[in-house]
Amino acid sequence: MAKLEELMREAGPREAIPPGDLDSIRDSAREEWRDLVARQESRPAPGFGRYLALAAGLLIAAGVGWWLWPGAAPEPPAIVAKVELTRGLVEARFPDAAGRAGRGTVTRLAAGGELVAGTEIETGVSAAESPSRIALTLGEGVSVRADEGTVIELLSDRRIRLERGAVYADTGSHAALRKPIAEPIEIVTAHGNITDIGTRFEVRVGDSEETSLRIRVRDGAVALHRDGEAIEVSAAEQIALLADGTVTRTTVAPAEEGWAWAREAAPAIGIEGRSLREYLDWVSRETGLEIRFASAGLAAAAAEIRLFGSIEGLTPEESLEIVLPGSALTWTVEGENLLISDLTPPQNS
Amino acid sequence: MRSGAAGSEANVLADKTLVERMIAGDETAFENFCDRYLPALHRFAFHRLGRDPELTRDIVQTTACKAIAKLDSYRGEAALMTWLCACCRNEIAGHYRKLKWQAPDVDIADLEGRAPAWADDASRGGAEGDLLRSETGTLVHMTLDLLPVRYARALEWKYFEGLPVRDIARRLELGEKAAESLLTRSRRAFERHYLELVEGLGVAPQSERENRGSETRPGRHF
Repeated sequence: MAKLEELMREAGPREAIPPGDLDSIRDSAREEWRDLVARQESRPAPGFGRYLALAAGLLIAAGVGWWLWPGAAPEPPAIVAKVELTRGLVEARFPDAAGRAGRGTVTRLAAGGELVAGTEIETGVSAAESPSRIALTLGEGVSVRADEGTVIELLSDRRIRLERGAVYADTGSHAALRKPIAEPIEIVTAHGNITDIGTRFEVRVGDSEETSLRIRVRDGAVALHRDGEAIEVSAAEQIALLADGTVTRTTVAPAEEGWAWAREAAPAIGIEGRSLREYLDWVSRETGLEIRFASAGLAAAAAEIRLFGSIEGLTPEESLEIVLPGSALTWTVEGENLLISDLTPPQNS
Repeated sequence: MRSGAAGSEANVLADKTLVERMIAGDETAFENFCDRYLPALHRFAFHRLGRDPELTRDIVQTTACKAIAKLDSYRGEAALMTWLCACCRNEIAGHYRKLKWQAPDVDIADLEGRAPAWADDASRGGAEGDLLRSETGTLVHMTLDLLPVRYARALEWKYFEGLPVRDIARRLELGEKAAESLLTRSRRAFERHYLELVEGLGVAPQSERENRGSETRPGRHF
C-alpha cells in the first residue's frame, strides 16, 4: 500500500512519551475513575430514588395522618422544574411536611436537580465572584433564568412567583432545537401578573426605589394584568411601573447589553451531531444578533457541517471561539449582525 | 486511501462497551482505556501545545480526569478518541484563553505552533522537524498509538526500519505466513483508525488540503 508507506515515511518514528508522565496521568485518572464508580454504586434505583429525598418527610407525615384519619395517603409532590445550570451560590428551600412553601429543608442547587411545587429559590449576591444565576426548565419546555439577588417560588409547572430580582423566560419555539412552542406561563408579582405565549421576556421587581416593576420583551408579546386592566408589551418594548403608579414605555433592542445576564445564564445546547447551522441559530437566539454568511456557498455548507464535542460551561460568545475556528471559520459583529466568513479566504487558482 | 464515514459501527460499539464496563467498575477495562487512549491523547495535545512536555502532561491529566468524571455522558455518537480529543481541545482553548487574558501582548497563533528551544535537535533537520509537527504526522503517530502494540510494531519495523517480512516474523515469534497476515491486518486497522481520526477531528491531510475546492467542505467537524 504505497500511500501508507508514504504517510509513515513522512511522519517518521514516534517520539517516546516520558513514561513518568503517562504514569502520573494514569494515577490521577484512576482516582477519578474510582470516584465515578463509587458515585454509580451509591445511586438509588431508577424510578424510586428521584422522589426519595424530597418525599420521605411527607410520606412519614402522611403515614401518621393516614393512621389517625383513615383514607388514602397523599401522593408525593409533582416535579415541576429541572435545574439546567447554576452559577455561583443558588439555594432552594423545599416545602415542609405540611406542604408550606419554602419552610422545609435548604439545599444548594446544582444542574440536574428536580424541583417540586412550593420550592423557593434564591440566587446569592456576591461582589467578588461571578454572579449567582440559575437556569431551569419548567414543565415540558419553558426556559426560565433568574439573575443574581432573585427570589422566586415555583407555584406549578406554569406559574412562578417573583418576590424580588429578575427572571427571563423563553417560551417560544426553538427552531435550532426542534422543540414545539410551550404552554404559556404566568409570572406572579406584587404589582401584577404577567402572562405570555411564544415569547422571550424579562420581568424585574424592586430594581430601584423609583421603579417597582420593569418588563422588557425580546420577541412575542406579554400582558401585565393589574387592577382589572391588561397592559400589553410587544417585542423590542419595555415598560416600567414607577413607584407613583405611572407606566413609562420605551424601546429595547434584541441585542442590547441589558440582556447580557440572561445570555450568560443560558444553558449550552448539546452540539454533538448537530449541524453548524443549528448551532448558529441557537447563538442568534441567545445573543439577539442576526446570522449573516459571507457567501451563499458558506450558508449552504453550514447546514451540512456536523459538529462534535461539547460547549458545556461556555456562554454563546465563548463557544464561538471554540466552534468556528474548528471549522476554519471566523466571525465579526457588525451592528445587529453576526457575520460568518472563512478563516482563510479561498485562493483564486 | 478510500474515504469513509466517521466512526465505523464496530469500533463505536466497542468503545461503548468499554465505557460501560469502566462505569460498572471493571478495572481491566480502565487499564485498557489508559493503555489505548492516553498515549494518543498525549500526542494530540503535545502537537497543539508548542511541544511543551510539562504543559502537555497537565492538560492531558485534566482532560482525562474530566472525561472520566462525565463518562456516563458518552453516548457513542462518535468514536471515543474523537470525544476525548474534543474534551482536550476545550482544555487547550481554556488554557490559551487564560493566557490571552493574563498576557494581552501574546499572539496566540505564535504560541500554538511554536516549539521550545530544546526541541531543536540537530538530528532532525528543518524540513523533517516541520513534518513531525505537521497535523498529518501527529495523526499517523496517534493512529499507531491506538493500534494493538504488535500491529504498531509490525508497521514501524516495516516502514521505518525497512525490515523484510522474515525479520519481522522473527521479532514477533511467528512464521512468515503468519507475519504477512498480521501485516495485512495491521494495514487495514491503520487505515480504519486513521480515517476515523481524520474525519472525527475534521483535519484534512496535506494532499487533500491542496486539492480541496473553495466552496464545499464535506465532513468538517469540530
